[in-house]
Amino acid sequence: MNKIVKLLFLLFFVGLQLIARSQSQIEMADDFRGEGKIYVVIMVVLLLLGGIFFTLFRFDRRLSQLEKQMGEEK
Amino acid sequence: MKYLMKAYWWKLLTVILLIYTVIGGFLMPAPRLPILNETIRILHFHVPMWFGMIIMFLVSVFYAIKYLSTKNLMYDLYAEQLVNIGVMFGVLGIVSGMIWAKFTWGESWSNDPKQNASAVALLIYFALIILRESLQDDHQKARLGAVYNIFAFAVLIPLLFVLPRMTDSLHPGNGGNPAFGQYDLDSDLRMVFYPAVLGWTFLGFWMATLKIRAARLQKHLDYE
Amino acid sequence: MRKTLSFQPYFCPMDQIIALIKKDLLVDFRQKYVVAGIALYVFATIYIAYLAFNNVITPAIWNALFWLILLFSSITGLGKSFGQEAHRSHYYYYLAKPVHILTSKLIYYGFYEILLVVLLTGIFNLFLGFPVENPSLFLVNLLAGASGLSVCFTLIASIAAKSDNGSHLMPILAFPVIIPVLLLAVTNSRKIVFGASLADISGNLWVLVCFNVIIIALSFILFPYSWKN
Repeated sequence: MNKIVKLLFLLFFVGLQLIARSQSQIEMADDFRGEGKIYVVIMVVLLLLGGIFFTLFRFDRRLSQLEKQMGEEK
Repeated sequence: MKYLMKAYWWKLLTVILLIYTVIGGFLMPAPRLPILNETIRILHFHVPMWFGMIIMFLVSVFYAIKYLSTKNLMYDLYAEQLVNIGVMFGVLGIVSGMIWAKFTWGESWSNDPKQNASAVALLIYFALIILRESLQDDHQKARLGAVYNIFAFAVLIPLLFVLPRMTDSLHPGNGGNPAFGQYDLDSDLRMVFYPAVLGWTFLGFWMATLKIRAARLQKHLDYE
Repeated sequence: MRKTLSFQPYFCPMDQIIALIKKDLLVDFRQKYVVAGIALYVFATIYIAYLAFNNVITPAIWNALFWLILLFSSITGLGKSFGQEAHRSHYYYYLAKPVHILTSKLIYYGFYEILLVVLLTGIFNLFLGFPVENPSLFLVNLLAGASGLSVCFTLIASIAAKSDNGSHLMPILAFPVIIPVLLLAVTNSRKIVFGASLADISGNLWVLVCFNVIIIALSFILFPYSWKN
C-alpha cells in the first residue's frame, strides 16, 4: 500500500513537470513588442541621447572657437 | 593626442555606435533566459560602463607615468580628467548594477564580492581626488597624484579581477558561475555588445577631452 | 649621557641603511611618548572591547575585533612614520639615496609592526582569550597580513606626509587601499579560528604574499618621485 502511494506521488510530480515544460516558454516581452510599444521606448531613449549629443557637439564647437581665439591672440 | 582631441570623426562614430546600441539593444533578439527575461539587454549598458572605466583608468596611469618622467603639467591634466570621468562611469555602473540586481537577484546590494570590490575600487579613486584637492602646489599635486594613481591602479587589478573569482559570487564568470560565453553570447548578444563597449568608451573619452580642453582654456584665462 | 649621531657620508649602502635605522630608533627613543601613546591606544581599545564583550565573545567576533584593533593601531602608529622628515628632507637629499631611505623605513616599520602585533596578541590573550584552534597557522597568516599593512602604510605615509593635513589625509588614503589585504587576511583568519588546515587557506595566502611583493616593488619604483620636492 505504501509503495503504491509513493508511485502515485512520483507519477503526479512527473506529470506536473511535463505539463509545465510543454509550455516551455520563458516569459519575455513578446506581447509588448508585438503591439509596437517597443518603438515608443526606442524613440524616447533616442530622443534623450539626441539631446545629450547635441549639447556635447555644441560644447565642442564652442571650445574650438575659443581655442582659435586664444591662438590668434597669442 | 592634440589632434585626436579636436578631430570629429571618432565623435560621429560614437554617436552612430550608441544609436545602434540603443536600437539594436531593444529590437534585436535576445536569448531567453530564466530569471533574467528581458533584462539581459541591460548588458549593453551596464558592462560597457565598467569596461570604459578600466580603459580610462589605464590611459590615466599611462599619462601619470608620462608626467613623472617628463614633468610636463599637460600630462597631469589628462590624467586628472580621465580619472574624473572614469569615476563617473564607475558610479553609473554601480547604480545601474544595483537597479539590475534589485529585479534579478532580489535585493540592490546582496554582498556579492564583485559588487563590494567595485565599491572599494571607487573609494580608492575618491581618495585620489581628495588627495589632489588637499594639495596646493601644482607640481606637488601632480607628482603625488601620479604616485597614488599608479598605486591605486595596481591595487585595482587584483581587487576587481582576482579576488571575486576566488569566492562565491553571483556575477557570471566569477565564483564558479560560467562566464558569459556560455550564456548565448555567441551570436545574438555579441552583435550589439562589442559596438556598445566601443561606443560607451569613446563617449567617456569624448567627455574627458572636452573637460581637458575647457580646463586648459581656463588656465590660459587665469594667467592673463 | 646622550648619544650624538655622526652622519658622515657612508659609501657602502648597508652602512647607510643601518645608520638610517639607528636614526629612527634614536628618534623614537628620545621621544618615548610617541611609542607610549601607541601602546596606550592598543591597551585602551582592548580594554573597552573586554568591557563590552566580556562574556558574549564568540570566536568569530574575537577574530573581527582582533583585526579591527590591529588595523587602527597600525594606521595610528605608521601614520607618523614620515612625520619627522618634513623638516629635515633637504638635509637628506645630499646624504642618502631615496632607495636607502625607503629600505630603512620598510625594515624599521616592519619591526615596529611586528612589535605591535606581539603586544596586541599578548594583551588580547590576557583579556579576551585566544580561542584559535591552529595557533601556528594563525601566526603565519597574521605575519603575512601585518607585513601587507606595514608596506602599504609606509608608502601611503610618505605621500600623506607631504601635504599640510597629513594626519587627516592618512586614513582617507590608506583605508580603501588596504581593503584587499584585509579581505584576504581576515577571511583566512576566520577559517583558521574555526580550525582550517594549510590547504584551505593556501590560495588566499599566496595571493596575499604576491600582493605584498607587488606593493614592495611599486614602493621602490614610486618612492623617489614622492620624496623629491
